[in-house]
Amino acid sequence: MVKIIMPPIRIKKENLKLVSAFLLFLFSSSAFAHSDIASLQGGFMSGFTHPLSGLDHVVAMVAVGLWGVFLGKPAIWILPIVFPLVMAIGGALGVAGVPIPYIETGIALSGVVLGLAVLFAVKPPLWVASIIVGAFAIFHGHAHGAELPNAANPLIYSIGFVTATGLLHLAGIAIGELKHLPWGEWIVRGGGAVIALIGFGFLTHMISA
Amino acid sequence: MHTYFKSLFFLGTLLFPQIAFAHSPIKGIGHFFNGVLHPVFAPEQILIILGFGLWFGQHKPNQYKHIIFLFLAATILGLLASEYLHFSNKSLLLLILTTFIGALIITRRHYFQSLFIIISILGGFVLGLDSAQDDLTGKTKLLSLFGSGVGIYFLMLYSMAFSESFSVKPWKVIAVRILASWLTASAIMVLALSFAN
Repeated sequence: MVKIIMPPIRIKKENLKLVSAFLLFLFSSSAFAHSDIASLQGGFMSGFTHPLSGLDHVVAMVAVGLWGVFLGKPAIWILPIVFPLVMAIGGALGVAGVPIPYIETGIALSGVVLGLAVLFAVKPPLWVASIIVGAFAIFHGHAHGAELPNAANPLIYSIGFVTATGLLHLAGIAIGELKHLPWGEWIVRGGGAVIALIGFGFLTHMISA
Repeated sequence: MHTYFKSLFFLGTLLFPQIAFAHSPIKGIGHFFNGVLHPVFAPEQILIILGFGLWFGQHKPNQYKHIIFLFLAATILGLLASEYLHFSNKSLLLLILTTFIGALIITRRHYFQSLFIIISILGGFVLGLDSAQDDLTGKTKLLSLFGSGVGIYFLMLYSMAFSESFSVKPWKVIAVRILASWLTASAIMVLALSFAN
């Protein structure tokens, strides 16, 4: 008779906490039927999908996370904090109707610049990286902010797109962590090349938003 | 104390079983539960409650117990005063405080304790004032206000326990600061819209 010995399953307490927290997020707003709750959900989803609906936004957000990994600590967390805060200022300018020229060009350029920074593993001082990221955040924020007055619930809408932006940064950081693998750095830098190409495509209008 | 907060954290999760709601949580659940759920459906309130919770949890709740109690006392005072004090722009004030608290969480510095106290009292009081449901009167209003107080308390406790349990590992500390940046960014946007209008 073959005896199969299973190794004991050891779940660390900390992992259990994280799993519990994750399960909590799964049990959210699945059965709301009333319009007030539906409008909150709708406003959040509308805001959440706004950054995701534009490839130019998506690649730039991911590039911020990727670049943060290359720059290391503390840039890996400072850039994802700087970006939404400055984006909010850009959004405020958009809401106030302050015109910023060449918004779409700025957004496309963000993909090119950040993608190239990842491709060539450019490592400027933290303050330079923060200024570059912040400058591009203004363009992204202005584009989102211009939509804010049209939203049924502006606060829920802004929570939605700020959350989506942050999650894209985190996705970039997660992908960027591959650089610790033997061949991982080349994959990440290749990702930067793809981002730069997509940005270039938007810049030259070969790709349309 | 750490175990206490962990227990409250998980107890808090049991109090929000949203998947069990087959109908709207508003209709037919009574004024008390309407009150409990009121902060959840008021975005300005939930932002500031989360902000306070993250802030308290970030700064060793044990050392700042008195400030947490002051916040809760101010909230209760605000709830009671909502019958007599009416002013517009409560939401605006809540968003301004959220922006400020978010900035404090991001910088993660220990400022003067008096600053903590002032912000906590002001935030709690305005939160209480904002929780009144004007279409209710008498006993039903009191029941609803009591429910709001309970809802605010548990939401704050939940986020405080979350933040406190995330105060150990470096990446978790960073996660709290990133969350705070999201709160601040959202509040700034809507403040800009309010001022533009």
